Amino acid sequence: MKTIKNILLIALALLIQSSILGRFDIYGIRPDFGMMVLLYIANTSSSVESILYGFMIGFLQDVYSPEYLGFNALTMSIIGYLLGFVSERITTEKLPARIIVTLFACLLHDMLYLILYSHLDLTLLSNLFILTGLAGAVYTTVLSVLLITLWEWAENGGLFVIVNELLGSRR
Amino acid sequence: MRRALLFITEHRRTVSLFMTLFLSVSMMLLGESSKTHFARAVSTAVFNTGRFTFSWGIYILDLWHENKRLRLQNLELSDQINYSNTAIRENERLRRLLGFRQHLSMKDSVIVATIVGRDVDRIVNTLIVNVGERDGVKKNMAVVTAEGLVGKVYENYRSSSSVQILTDVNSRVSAYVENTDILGIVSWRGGTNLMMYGLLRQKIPKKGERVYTTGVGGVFPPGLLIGTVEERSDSGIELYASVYVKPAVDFSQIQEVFILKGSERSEVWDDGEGTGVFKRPETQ
Repeated sequence: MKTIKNILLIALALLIQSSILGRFDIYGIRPDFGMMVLLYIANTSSSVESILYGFMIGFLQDVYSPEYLGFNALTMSIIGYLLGFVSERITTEKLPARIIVTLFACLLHDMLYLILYSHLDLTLLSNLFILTGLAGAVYTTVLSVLLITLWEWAENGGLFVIVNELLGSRR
Repeated sequence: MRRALLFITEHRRTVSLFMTLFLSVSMMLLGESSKTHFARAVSTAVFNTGRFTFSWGIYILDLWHENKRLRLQNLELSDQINYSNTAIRENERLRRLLGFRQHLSMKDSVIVATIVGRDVDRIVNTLIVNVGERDGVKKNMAVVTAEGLVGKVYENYRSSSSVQILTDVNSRVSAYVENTDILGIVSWRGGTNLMMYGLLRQKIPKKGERVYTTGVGGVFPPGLLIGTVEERSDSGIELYASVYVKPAVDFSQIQEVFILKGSERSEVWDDGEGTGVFKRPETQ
């Protein structure tokens, strides 16, 4: 059940990324929905699962742009490994910790990707990192923290709690 | 082998990482065309799986709608085919009628009538046609189709008429067999065939020979086809011979008829003995 849910989430994230991502565009900066799903999966799964799901997400992202095949698969596998490692040692339920971990993961992903993309051309690497990496990481962090918090709140009965409270106050 | 498995189990996280990294680097090292080919194959497989997984419900719904639409279309097409077949048959029938009318060369003396009813009586065999006195129809006018003789006008009303057909028990027609001097009376004695009786025993018509009206009596013009000889119907000991005649007209199928004007001068009188005595034409 959990596996099906994770696969459906990955499919949904990639569907959004490949279809209506333009609606989330702010000055050319776009969030990484694949990264958001990986962050959520890393919170709820083991580190091995995080690596495999990371690889799967990255690989499916690479399929969209075959010339860079393997770039996202490699970086997302590493991020999955690190997120799994972190989630086994520290709790990310508190908001500051979640923000720091998310931002760190996004920046590291972009850094690794751009290293592979630029073939260690430091000028290109720094330009791209400043122009897209930093802003994109912040955007992804804000959106993912918001969405993951909402998701977990709804998943843990938040909606039911509100409905019950509303019904109770009427009585 | 066991030690390897133990190592993998103990270090599964590191092994998983290196395995994925190895796969990623292998993909990076693929040639450009191989990358494209591989990515296209994977994306096709993934999208097809996804499409099948998520769209089967929609697909079944589409199939249901398509099935419903095709059923309706099938019904409409069947209806159209039936309509076309009916139109074709009607066209053929009307063409035959038109040809017959031209053949008669008596356009002014023919009334075209449509059959609007049939007598429900099992003994009296009459048809109701949609023309009557106001159309110039009079009693005893001969009624024909392109195939042959149908009967005569039995009763006429203002806008409709009753036609006594050859298979009515009271119908009698003076007839002869083609290319012979064999004369007789044609009437109906039950069954699907007519009977030609009053034939001399020395002159028995052959099967397949056609029987026409003689014109004697003035009701029916001469030369109208009544039917074809089927077989001898007498036992061979009677004074006069008789034969069965298959009617040229299928009385159950006719829809339009011609009423011949000017053929109502007299009527056949049956003496009950089958000898065929005719009344003198009335002077008008």
